[in-house]
Amino acid sequence: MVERDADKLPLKLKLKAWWEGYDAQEFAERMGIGLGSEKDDEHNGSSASDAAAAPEPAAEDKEDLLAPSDGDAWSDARAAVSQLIWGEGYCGPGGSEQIISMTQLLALDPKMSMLVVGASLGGPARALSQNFGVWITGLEASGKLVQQGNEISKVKGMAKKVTLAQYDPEDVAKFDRNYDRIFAKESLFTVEKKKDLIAHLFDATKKEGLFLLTDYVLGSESVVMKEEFREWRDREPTRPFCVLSDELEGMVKNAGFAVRVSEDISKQYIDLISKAWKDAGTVVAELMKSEDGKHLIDPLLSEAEFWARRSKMLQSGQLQVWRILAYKTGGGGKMMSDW
Amino acid sequence: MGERRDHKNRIQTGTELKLHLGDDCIAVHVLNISFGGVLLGSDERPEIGTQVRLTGEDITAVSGNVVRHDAKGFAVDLGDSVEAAQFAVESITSDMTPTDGAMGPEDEAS
Repeated sequence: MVERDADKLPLKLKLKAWWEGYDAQEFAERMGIGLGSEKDDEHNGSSASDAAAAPEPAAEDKEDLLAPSDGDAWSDARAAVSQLIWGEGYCGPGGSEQIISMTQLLALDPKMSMLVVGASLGGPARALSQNFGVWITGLEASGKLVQQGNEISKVKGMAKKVTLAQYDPEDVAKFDRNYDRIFAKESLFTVEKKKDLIAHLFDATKKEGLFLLTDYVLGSESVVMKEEFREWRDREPTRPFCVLSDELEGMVKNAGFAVRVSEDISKQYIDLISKAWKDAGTVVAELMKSEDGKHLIDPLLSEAEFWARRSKMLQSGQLQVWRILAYKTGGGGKMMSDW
Repeated sequence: MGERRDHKNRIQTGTELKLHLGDDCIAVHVLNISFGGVLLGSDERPEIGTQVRLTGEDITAVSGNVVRHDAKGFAVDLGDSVEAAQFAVESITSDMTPTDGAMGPEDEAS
């Protein structure tokens, strides 16, 4: 007998009930599932009889459109459709060509070690390693992306040169090693304790090392009062904590870095977004050729909405993409521009 | 068990389109859209059951039937064709390409 207390139902079951469009209590009764703790659910809550009673969910029901139920901002479907738009291993603007171009000033070489913060599926890191021979550790908040990204590295025979690891950006302990180069790619804007993270990144930078940061920043102080901005912020899969470009630059300087370049690259990003999505109709036509592909149409539309909203914020100037290149003193960081 | 709710993600876009009704053509805008259907805003509302065709700049043309009127506009069922899926994604992403001079720090002008 199922108790009439839906609050005590396992979270996973409640989410599934919501997704299926049913009342959680009703759903539990229908499934023949009694009340259980979260722990029970973790262990599947599943006797053989439960498994038999549970209908196989349709593929489209297995994942939320943007974020799955486990708190990870990335679902398998989202990662899949993102790569159809941005390319294998990429979850956002900047293919290998753009990444290599953007990092020219880092004067990378095969003797160097590099840390990529916000590594996503590792596409940018692999492009850098392939092009410059640099050894890369990538940090990524999403366990899903780390797992898939490492699999891609393995398939490409790059598992040793590009290693991804999951991290909690709000709770970074001192890094256990130092790097010649650090690249934080659009990853700090979702971090509340940016100052702490940047301080740790400074500590992890070797003397004369370089720090490249690209990130979303506020277009102006008053933006945060605007309804459009709040709506954007509230609908992002991971909550943004954007600051002004001056504030971000200040944090980099206060950590101890000397800033060489600090510039607005919003237009470049708007163009990258526009170009990547220009062929979305063709991607959709390909997906529609198979049943598995059809299940990805709704996640693709959600991702399209997500990037359309970001693009709109960038075009209006409420949001900007900023690039900062900084170095850690101790002899003067050698950059291409010094040669 | 209660009635299953439709969890299709209805996406608001505001995309401007043209709606063709035989030889007539009226301006409409997207209130929200999903794969298979679109809610359109317009001063004119075709009768329920009317077959219409929707076109837009760089957007795949698609045909459908008016299925509902509501306070804000009218809904068109587009089915689940390839064209309907292309129409949806192209409508959502149509504003990603900036028009000249559209971009800039918002408060600079003020």
